Amino acid sequence: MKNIKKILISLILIGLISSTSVFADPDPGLLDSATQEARVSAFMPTSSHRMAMGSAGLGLAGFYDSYLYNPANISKDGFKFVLPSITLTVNNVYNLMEPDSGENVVELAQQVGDSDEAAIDLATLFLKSIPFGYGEILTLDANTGFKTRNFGLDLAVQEKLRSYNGGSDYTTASAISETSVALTAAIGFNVPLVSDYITLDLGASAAFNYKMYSLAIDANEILNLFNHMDEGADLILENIPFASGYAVPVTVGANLNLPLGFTISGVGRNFNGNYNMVAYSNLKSLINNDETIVAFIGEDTFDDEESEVTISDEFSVEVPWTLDLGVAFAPSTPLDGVLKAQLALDFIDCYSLIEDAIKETKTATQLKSDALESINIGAQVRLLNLLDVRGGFSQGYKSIGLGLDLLVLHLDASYYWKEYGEVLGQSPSDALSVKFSLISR
Amino acid sequence: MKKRKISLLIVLSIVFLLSSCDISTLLDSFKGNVYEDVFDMDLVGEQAQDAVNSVVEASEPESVSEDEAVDSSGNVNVGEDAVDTIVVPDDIAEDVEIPTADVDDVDDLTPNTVAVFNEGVPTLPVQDEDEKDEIKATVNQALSGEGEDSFIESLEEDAEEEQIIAAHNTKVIANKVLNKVNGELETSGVPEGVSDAISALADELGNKLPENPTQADILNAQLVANLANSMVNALTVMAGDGDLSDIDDIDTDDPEVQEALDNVRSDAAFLINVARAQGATSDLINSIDLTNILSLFEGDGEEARLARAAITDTVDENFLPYLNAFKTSINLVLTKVLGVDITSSTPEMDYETFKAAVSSYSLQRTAFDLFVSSSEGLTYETIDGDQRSKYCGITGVVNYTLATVFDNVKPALDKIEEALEGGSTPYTIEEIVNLVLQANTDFIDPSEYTAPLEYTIPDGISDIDIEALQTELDITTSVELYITNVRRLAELGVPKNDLENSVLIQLVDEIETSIDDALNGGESGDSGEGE
Repeated sequence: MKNIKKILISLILIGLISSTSVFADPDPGLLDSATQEARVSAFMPTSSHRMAMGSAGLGLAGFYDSYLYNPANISKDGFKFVLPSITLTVNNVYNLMEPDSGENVVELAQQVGDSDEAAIDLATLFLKSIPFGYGEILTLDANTGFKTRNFGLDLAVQEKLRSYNGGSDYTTASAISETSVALTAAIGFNVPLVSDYITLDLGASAAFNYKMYSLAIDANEILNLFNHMDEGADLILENIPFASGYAVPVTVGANLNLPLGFTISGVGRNFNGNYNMVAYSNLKSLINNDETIVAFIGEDTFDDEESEVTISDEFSVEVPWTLDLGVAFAPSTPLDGVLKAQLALDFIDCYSLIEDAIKETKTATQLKSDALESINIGAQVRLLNLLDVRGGFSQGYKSIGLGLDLLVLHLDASYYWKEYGEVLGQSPSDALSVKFSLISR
Repeated sequence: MKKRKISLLIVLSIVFLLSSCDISTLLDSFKGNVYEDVFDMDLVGEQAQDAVNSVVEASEPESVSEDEAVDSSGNVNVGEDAVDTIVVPDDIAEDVEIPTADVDDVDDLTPNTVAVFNEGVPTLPVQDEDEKDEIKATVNQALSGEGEDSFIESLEEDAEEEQIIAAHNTKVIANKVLNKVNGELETSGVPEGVSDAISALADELGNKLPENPTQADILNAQLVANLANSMVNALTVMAGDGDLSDIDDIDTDDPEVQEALDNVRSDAAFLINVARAQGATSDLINSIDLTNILSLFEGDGEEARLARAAITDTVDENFLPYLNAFKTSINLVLTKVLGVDITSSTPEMDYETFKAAVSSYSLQRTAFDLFVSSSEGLTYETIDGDQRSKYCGITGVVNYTLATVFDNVKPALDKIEEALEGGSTPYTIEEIVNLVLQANTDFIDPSEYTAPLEYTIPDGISDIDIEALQTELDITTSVELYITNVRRLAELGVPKNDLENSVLIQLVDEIETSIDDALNGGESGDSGEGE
C-alpha cells in the first residue's frame, strides 16, 4: 500500500514538474490602462491619402482602399489590384525634430556607430518625444488585394507600436506592440433610384481580424533595447507576455449619389467586433500554441522548453460599433483630365456622441470636445492625372499631403496632427506617413 | 513619354522645394488647433476647471452642531457619534482631548485648537473608496498632458472661509488622533518604519495652513486626511477584535489586510501625483541628466565605464562613481530649483519656485513613506504595474531621494518665513543655499557645489545672523528610514531573480556606505573625485 502511495505521489509530482502549460488568469498588465488602446481598438488600416485630407472622404472613391472604409464605394469604380501596398507612419515627428533641448533625431542617428553615448541619447530623445497619456510611435502597413465593381478581397498586415505615459516625466513612458492581420471580403452594388440621376450604393464587408498585443515595455527596458540591439529579439521572444485573438466584424455602408457630384454617405462599422483573446507568458509560447498561428505554420515552431508556459483562459474584449456620416462633392467636368477637385466633410462616431449626450455620461466640456473632434474636412486637387495635392482639418488639426502617379508605382505622403487626449488640446501628436503601392492606386 | 518627363519634373521640383524649406518653420506652421486659434477655445482649461469644481464639491465641509460636537469640558468629541473627520476606534476616540474655541473668522484660528464657527464644528468630509476613486480619476485625467498647468492654475482660486476653518479643524483633529494611534503602536509588533511614517503624517497634519489658503491647500488637507483615515483603517483591520497595541505583525496573507493596505498605497500614490504637479517638480526630473544615470544601470562593465567617463572623465572599475553621477545631478537640481540661471550674466533667484518645490517634496516624502510601509509583502511581480512604473525602480529612487533632500530643508525654510513675519532680517541667497546643503550633509558634500558669483537679491531678504539662526534649527535627518525606504523602492522596481545582480540595488548599497562614512566622519565613499 505504501509503495502504491509512493508511486502515485511520484507520478503526480512528475506530472506537475513536466507540465509546461499552466492555465491561469491573464497577466494583469495585459488588462490594465497602459494596454487599453491596443486591446480595445478596432483594426483600421492606415490610409496616407485620407489622412492628408483630414481623414475625410467617406463617400469618395478613386483609390483601391476606398471600399475598405466604406463598402458602398466598391461599385463606384472598376477593377483595381495592388501588389503590394506598403505604408510607413512615424509619429511624434515634431518632438523628434524640434526637441526642447539637445540634438534632434537626425543629428543623433548620424552619430550612432561613432559615439558610444549616441544610442542612449537616441533612446532618451525617443522617450521624451512620447506624449503623455496614450499615443503612437510607429506603424507599418502592408496589404495586397483586388476589387471588381461588385466584389473585393484584401489581406492586410499591420504592426503598430503604441505608447503610454501615465506619469509626469519621460521615465514613466512605455511602448506596446500591436500586430494585426485582416482578411476582408466585401460586396456592393449600385441601385438607380431616379434613372442615373440619383442612385444608391449599398455595400457590406466582413473581416477575419487577428490581433496580438504585448505588455507595456517600460522606459528601462526600452533603454536596454537601444543599448543592446542584438539581444532585443530574445527580450521580445522570451520575456514579454502577449495576448492574441480574433474578431469577425461586419461593416455596412450606403451612398446616396445626387446630381452635380454630391454624395451623402453613412457607414456602420464593427458590428460583432468583439475580440476573443488568450494571454501567453511570452511570444514563443504564443507562436507555439495560438490556434490561428498553429493552423498556418504548424505546431512547435520553437523547441525551447526551458521556460514555463502560462496560457490564460479565454477572455473577451468589447469593441463598440460606430456610425460615421459624410458628405462629399466630386463634380465631373470637361477639365477632369487637367484638374479635378474633390471635397469631403465627415462626422465620425456620431452614435456614441448622441448616446453620451442623452445618458449624460460625460461632462459638457467633454461632449463639446467630442463633437468638435468628430468633424473632418478635406480637399484634393488632381493635376494632369499625375499629381494630387491634398489638405484638410481633422479634429481641428491641419493636415497636408501629396500623391504621385508614376505609371504602376504610386506614392502618397501626408503630414498631420491628431488628438490623443480626453479633450482637444490635451495631448496632440503629429505623424508623417508615406505609402508605396504597385499596379493600382 | 511626355507624361514621364512631366512626372520627373514634378518630383524634382518637390524635392527642391522641400530641401530649401526651413523644417522647423514648416513644422511650426502646422502646429496648433483651428478651434483654439480662431474661436479662442480652451477646452483643456475648461476641463481643468471642471475637475477643480468636482474636487471642491467632494470636499464640501460638513458641520456638526456645537451641542453634539463639544463636551462639557470644552473638548471636541471625536468619533462616529460626533465629529468623524477621522474614523478611529472608540477607545482611542474617547482618549483624545482637543480643546475648542469660538471663532468669528479665519483670523481667529489658533494652532492645536478646534474652531467652533457659527455654532457648529465644520470639518472636511470622510470620503469612501468610491468617492475617492472618482476624484482620483477626474484629477489624474486633468493632470494628464497639457492639462497639468491649467489644473494647477485653477487650483489657485482662494478658498472660502468655511473651507479654511474645516480644513484647519480636520488637520488639528487628525494630528491628535494619529499621535494617539502612534502611542498605541509603541508596544505593538508593527514595524518601526510604519510608526515613523505615521509620525511623519501626523507632523504634516500639524503644519498650519498657509496665509490666504487656496483650493490647492484645501485639496492637500483633504488628501492627507484621506491618507490618515486609510492608515488608521488598515491598522484597525490588522488589530481585528483586539486593540491596536495588540497588533503582532502585518499579516500580508489576510485578504482584508491586503485590501486595506492597497487603499493606503493608492491614496499615497495619488498624493504624490498631486503634490508633484503643484511643485512643478516633474520639470526638475526632465532637467536631471537621467540619461547618464539610467545608462549606468543598464550597462555591463564596459558600457558602464564609458557612460561614467562622460560624467567624470575618469575611467575606473569602481562602482562608487555611480554615486558621483547621482550627487552631480542632485546639485544640478538644486541649482535649477533655486532658480539661479547660471547661464545668464546676472543670475536671479526665484524664491517662490524654491518654496513651492520644498512644500511639494515635503508632502511627497510623507506620502512615499506611507506608500512603502503599505507595500509589505509585495514584489516587482505582484505590485500594480502602474504604481511600479511611476513610483518604484529608478523613478522612485530619484524622486524619493529628492523628496528627502528638500524635506530636510523645510524646517530651515519655516524659520526664514517666521523671521520674515516678525520683521527680522532673513537670509541672503548664498546663506539659503548653504542652509540647503547643510541640511543635507549626509547626502551631499557642500564643497562639491560651486555657487554662482552674482545674485540679484529679491526685496525683503537681506543679511542675517546665520550662526544664531542655525542653532535654533532642529533638522533631523532620518537616515535609517531613508535607506530602508529607498532600498524597498529599488527592490519593487527589480524582478525577483535579478535582485542579486541588480545595479540599482548596488547603487543603494553604495549610497548607504557613503552616508555611513559621512556620519562616522570617514571619507564620503571616496567619491570626491571627478566633479
